[in-house]
Amino acid sequence: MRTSFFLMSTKSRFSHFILLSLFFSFSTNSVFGQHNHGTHVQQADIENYYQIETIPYPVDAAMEGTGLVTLPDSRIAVATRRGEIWILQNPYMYDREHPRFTRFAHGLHEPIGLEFKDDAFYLAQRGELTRVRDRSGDGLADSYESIYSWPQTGNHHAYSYGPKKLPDGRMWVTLGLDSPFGGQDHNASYVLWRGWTGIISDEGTFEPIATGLKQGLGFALNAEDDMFFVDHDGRWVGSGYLTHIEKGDFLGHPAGLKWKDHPDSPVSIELSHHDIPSTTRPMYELANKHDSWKTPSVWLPHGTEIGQGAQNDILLDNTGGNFGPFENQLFINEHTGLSLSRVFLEKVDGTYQGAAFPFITGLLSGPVGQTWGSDGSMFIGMTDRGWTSGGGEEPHGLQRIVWTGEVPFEVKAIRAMPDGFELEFTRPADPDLLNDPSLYSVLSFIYMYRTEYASPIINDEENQIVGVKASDDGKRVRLVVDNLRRQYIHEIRLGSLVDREGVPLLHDVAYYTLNNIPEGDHLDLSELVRPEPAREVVEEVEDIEEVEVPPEAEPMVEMITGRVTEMPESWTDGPEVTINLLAIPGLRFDLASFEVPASSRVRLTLDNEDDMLHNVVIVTPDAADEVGEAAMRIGPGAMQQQYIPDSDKVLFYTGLLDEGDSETIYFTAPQEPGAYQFVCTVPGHHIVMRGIMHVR
Amino acid sequence: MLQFPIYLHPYCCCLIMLLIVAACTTTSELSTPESEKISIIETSETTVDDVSDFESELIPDRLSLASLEAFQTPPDGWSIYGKVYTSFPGEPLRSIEGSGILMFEGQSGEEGLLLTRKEHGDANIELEFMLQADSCFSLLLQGRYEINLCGSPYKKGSDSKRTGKIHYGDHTTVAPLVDASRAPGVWQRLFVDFSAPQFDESGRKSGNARIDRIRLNGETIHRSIELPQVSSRAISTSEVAEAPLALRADSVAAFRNIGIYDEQVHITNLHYAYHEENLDDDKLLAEATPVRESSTSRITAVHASRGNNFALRYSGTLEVPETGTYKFTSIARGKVTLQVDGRTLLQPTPQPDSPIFINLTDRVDGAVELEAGQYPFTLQYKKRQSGTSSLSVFVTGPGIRQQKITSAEGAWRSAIQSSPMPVEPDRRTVVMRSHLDHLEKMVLNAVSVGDPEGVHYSLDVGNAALLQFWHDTFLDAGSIWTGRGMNPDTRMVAAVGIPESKITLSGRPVVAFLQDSNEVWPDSIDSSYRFSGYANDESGRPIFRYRFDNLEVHEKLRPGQAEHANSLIREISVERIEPGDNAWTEDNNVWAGENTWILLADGSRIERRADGIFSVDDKYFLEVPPGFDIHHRRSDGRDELILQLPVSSQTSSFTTTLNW
Repeated sequence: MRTSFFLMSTKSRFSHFILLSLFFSFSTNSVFGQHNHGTHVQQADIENYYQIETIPYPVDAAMEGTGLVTLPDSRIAVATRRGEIWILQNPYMYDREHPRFTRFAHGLHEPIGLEFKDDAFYLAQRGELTRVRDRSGDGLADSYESIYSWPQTGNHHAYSYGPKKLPDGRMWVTLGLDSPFGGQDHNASYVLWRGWTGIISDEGTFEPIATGLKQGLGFALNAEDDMFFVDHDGRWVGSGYLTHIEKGDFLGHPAGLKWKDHPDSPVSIELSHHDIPSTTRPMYELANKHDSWKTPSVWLPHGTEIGQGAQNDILLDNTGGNFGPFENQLFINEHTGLSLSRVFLEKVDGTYQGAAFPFITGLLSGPVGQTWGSDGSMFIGMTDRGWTSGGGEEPHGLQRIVWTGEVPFEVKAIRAMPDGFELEFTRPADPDLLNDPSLYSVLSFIYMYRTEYASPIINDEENQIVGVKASDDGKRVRLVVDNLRRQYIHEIRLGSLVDREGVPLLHDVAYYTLNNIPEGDHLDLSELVRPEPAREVVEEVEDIEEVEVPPEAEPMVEMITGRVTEMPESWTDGPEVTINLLAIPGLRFDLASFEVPASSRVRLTLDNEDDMLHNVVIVTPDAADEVGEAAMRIGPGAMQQQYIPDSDKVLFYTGLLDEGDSETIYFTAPQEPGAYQFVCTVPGHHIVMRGIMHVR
Repeated sequence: MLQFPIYLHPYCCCLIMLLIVAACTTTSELSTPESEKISIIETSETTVDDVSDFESELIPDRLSLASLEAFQTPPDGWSIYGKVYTSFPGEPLRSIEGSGILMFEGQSGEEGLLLTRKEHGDANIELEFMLQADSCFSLLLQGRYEINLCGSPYKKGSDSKRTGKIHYGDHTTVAPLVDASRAPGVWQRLFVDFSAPQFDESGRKSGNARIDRIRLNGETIHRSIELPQVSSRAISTSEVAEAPLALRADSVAAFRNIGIYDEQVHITNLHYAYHEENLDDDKLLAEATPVRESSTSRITAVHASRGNNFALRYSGTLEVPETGTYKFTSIARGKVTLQVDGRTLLQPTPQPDSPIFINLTDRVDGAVELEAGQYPFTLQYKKRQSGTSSLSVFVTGPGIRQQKITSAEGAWRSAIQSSPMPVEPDRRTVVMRSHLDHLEKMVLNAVSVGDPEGVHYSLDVGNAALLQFWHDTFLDAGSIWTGRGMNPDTRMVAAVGIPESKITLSGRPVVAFLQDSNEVWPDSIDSSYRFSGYANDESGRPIFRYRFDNLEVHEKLRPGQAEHANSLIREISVERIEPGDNAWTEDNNVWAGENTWILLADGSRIERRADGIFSVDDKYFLEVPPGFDIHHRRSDGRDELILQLPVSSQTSSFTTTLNW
């Protein structure tokens, strides 16, 4: 849409413009072009209900909180990526007093997780589950027992997570996959049990439970004591997701299947880690053929208000109402978007499914560990993992979310119905307002199951609203919707809505994963409020003002912009400048800057030598922040769009490149000299991954 | 002719023995060099036998310790005395008849459990205690929740542990944040803010017992700890709303000034009016229509809609549970006026003339006699100054210990500006120059020295004075090195964080030139004083140099060796210098020699406990050097130990040792 726009004369440019607008209005290429994905919620509104408080800690302490746990006496302990355990007294800052910090333990190897049982701390280091104790009673750890250690290759990405304590006292851990170089075996399992999750007893036995995980950093029991996992998007993982997990399950990432024939393995699926095909088809097509292959309970679509796909930890709201109206829902933090979402779960035909809602944004750094304080406030430990991995500015942080006591107006829950969905609100609204079908829009999509890193959305289609029916008390509304597709993610979006007291809806979108459609009676059409018959959408073009072309019309300058991957034929002498750029590990380009003469013909090649997706986007001066942030708000279609936002500050760009890929683009440098910027707009990368293109 | 019998009558034997003994004694006295004799010239009336009522900072509303009546049938080993003391940390406690002190003298391991008759729920508990080196005791709140304290203070590098642990459950220990204890043989103060467990209507426990704060010798050693279970040494496993306080002593321990404060004032019918105009005139304000008024359940600055230029006027009913004196204290950024029953108790402090000394936080006290009953009250908080609004009002009265009647809940814009930044000496001594807060004034030329062995001190080198000393953690520089390093209320340099349990001295100069032994010790150093700086000795410890016209005084402190106390040896040496031609005048009689004195210690009570050993204010023990004339005197309302430098010698040096 943006290519070669400047190739035309001024006059024909306008008629092109009109034609293009008409084109957009009729377009059904992608339903996402027509939706406003900007968030309606200002941060200030959230503060009426939930407030984020930063907890000050000793300046020299690197409080990279990867595991948090609350002790029975209300102190909170923080395990950090730097191998320490800190204990905080008065983290609640009663009387505005600083918390008091004690460095309880140190010397551990990158723990991610922390539990407390029988006066001892349990944590998973890189290589073992360790029990740390203060035997002498002087307040400092003096005993470090190795409960169980597992084989390692030493690969940097082979993290081990947990534990989480089960009701029987045993400890649940996850062993993430290695991330070596290139090829199909990227994210591989080289030694026993990597890519698996299992339970460790105090006696040092390991009971493998399930596999198919990529990392599986976050896991927790729900209100029914069923275990749930979140995983990051990546290879074989189209988007972040939350799923129920049971013994013998396979979740999708093939690597762990290497060990399924081990005598202790409870996984018996008839598949091998070698022969799972990578296609553009969704995972459920293959998964439905195998009983023990579990598809996600609730997808957490990346590029949306739910987050950017890097979900870390889960916290069940079992505060008994001390954190607002979302009891028994799961709060899930997301590393790149510095945010939390929440999930409502239900079971249909014995399978878990449910809805994901945005909850809060604006954390200081990438959240990892979470715990409830004894007063029902939520404590979050944060880190940028040393390389600005999250979108935040701070390398580490400790924050607390407190409910003010005011109940926000939100969609509390969404339940699947035989003919659509039922929305339940936290506060009553006027049923007449709810009974307006134009208030709602629904569409559905799914992801591919393939080896490439994450997936754009596919098979996205609109779901027409057949009709709506609000309950008399104004707290619920039934949406009868067509085109319901099992195992698809349904985006449900609301327009402007206020409750009975005029308070506007805090968040207006949710994503329901419809694993099963419940049996039962459909509502009679006569009970519903039907939408107005659809009008033909026709853009009437009125009054095209002919703009006078100034007499001294500028000669037609052939300018190449956007994404041109073939050398233009008109470049008979070839490019004037050739730039070779590398994307390297640590979120960097190998060049901090380069120079091009104004209006020169430039050929730029980007090689991706990192193990993540990257692109490069050249923007107008000082626009890197704005464009990078806009890329995080594109919506579910972001990846399809190569994370290039619609912005007039975007000049030239490549597509998304996987590890080892390369792309060459051709463009004409701007006429106006200046310090333009080049930046990678994959969500979260723009903060450090950038440089300057000097146009002279 | 007399004949001496060969044998001696037995009586003669004894007589001869006595004579021999007498001769030997005289001989040994004569053989002690003058330089080793401790010479104290006593003119103070303070003696160790003085069993006068020690002035306590606590509100006089304590359990009666005239007898054991306040306690349920005590087992053997508990008695009442008038005074308990020791000659040095580690020595056994001695007692003198009288009343006011409760003491357990049973053997180690014996049952020393004592329960009060009074039962308590939510309460502030205060007491003073004194231990022997080998003894520990537990305070059991409601007889169930345990705080354990032991005799010898924590010494870095040894096996000793910080004292003041909380125990709950079978084996859970919460160690204190810092060691704020003192040596055995010194009176120590303990304060506990306790909340009892909560129960719902059906009697089921709905909330844990909680310790909000424990202060030991003024320093917070625990903050906000819930107690999910009773201690394994509780008197009962059940948790209840009210139960007796218990003391459990493992060995010899003494207690006094035990107070259980569990009363509360209640405020009802509370309304507030919020104004944004007519703020200049209180009379107008009282009549004016407020922007908003409402009934409310709390008094708080959070009711204001903006940060400045407003007034909140609260009115309601104050119910006091007992007849007695009620003292109100307000600490606020703004102006507070409090009237109870028509009487004005609190009024804002007038601003000082000099803007250099303005303090945006105003602290006012006021007291009134009230009988049990209800009284109308009004409280006005007016804010017309910069800074975050803050309003805290406390009341103390019979059975009430610093109850806060205001609330800051809901004020989320935290005023916390700085982060902690601990400074600890590692292998070398740390010297830090700064400003220091001392006795509510600012010392502008202060030096604090942190020793790797964990004993620290501060000097005022502008006044040649030892200001304070403490042990365990050195200091927290976060208030000066993070944020603006400024106290936002005074715009002065912020104070560094030193444990409140430090021992604070008067800050009077160590050297003075007195005409005679009766002259009052000056508050400020002689005008000829110049601070010359400091140099490190071989161990890296600083030696401070104070210069006067004709002498130079060196002062150095280093860790001492007391077994049961933290200890600093204070070495002072004085060198008389030949005056330069233009430094000596007839009027400036510094070289006279008879009038150079050193202040070894001053306080309210200095008692001689053994030869050369004094207890100062029951806070620390001082060892004085032999071979000098030391005057133990009472002067200008203080007890002092002052040492006169010998006239004849050119140099003199000596050490005193501080043990705490």
